[in-house]
Amino acid sequence: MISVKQAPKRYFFELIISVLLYLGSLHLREGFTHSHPDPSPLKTLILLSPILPSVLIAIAILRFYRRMDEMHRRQMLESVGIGALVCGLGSIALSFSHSAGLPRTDIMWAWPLMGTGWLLATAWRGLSGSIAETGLAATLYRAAGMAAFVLLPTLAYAMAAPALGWPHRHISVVLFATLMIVIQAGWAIFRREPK
Amino acid sequence: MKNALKDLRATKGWSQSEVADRLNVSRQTVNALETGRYDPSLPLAFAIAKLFKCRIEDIFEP
Repeated sequence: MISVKQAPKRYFFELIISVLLYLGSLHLREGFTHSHPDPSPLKTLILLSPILPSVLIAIAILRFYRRMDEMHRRQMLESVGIGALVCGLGSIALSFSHSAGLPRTDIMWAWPLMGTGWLLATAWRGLSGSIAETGLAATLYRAAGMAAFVLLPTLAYAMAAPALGWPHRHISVVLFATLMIVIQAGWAIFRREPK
Repeated sequence: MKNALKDLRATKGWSQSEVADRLNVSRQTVNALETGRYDPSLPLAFAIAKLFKCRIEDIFEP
């Protein structure tokens, strides 16, 4: 049985591998669609291929949930509940906006909506816990450091990319920011905790 | 719920991380327990009592 202390490390690796497989399947899907415009069973299989790594991501999250201690398990459930609420309210708002004449929104947006609600609830929980533990000033200092770690290199990338001929579409900037967040999460998980 | 976890930990000379390892919970959970921000489940309360060789009611009071 994996200890609570080891759980985030396992989760980090399992999630990274699943997300890389997901991104790989998206890349394969896009390339294959352009090179093979005609329908075929193989094309259908490749078009559906991102589903498998999506399931792997869900399994990684579930495995991490089962390895958490009881307090974090409860906090995660509450955050997911808030995420579901945001998703429900968002879908109602989008439905009304469609009736009001705005373009119809893809159901694919349900997950980002829920994920955003989940993320914000988790961030709020983390911030309030940190304020209770270390105080407001120390929490703000740490939060500013974390934001600077992600935002400053991303800003530098967005500004330097066109001049250096690197990809500078919006998605590449988002991917760069995601990479910085992953590095930061990895650092937080693998650094030695003070006694 | 009030508890004597911090005092008991101090008498043993353990850090929050050491208590967390012995209880197989995170250090944040030990901190939340000590500051009264989280009330443990019955199994965790029993584990804490066993660790400090006390009765549950000697550690927690409503």
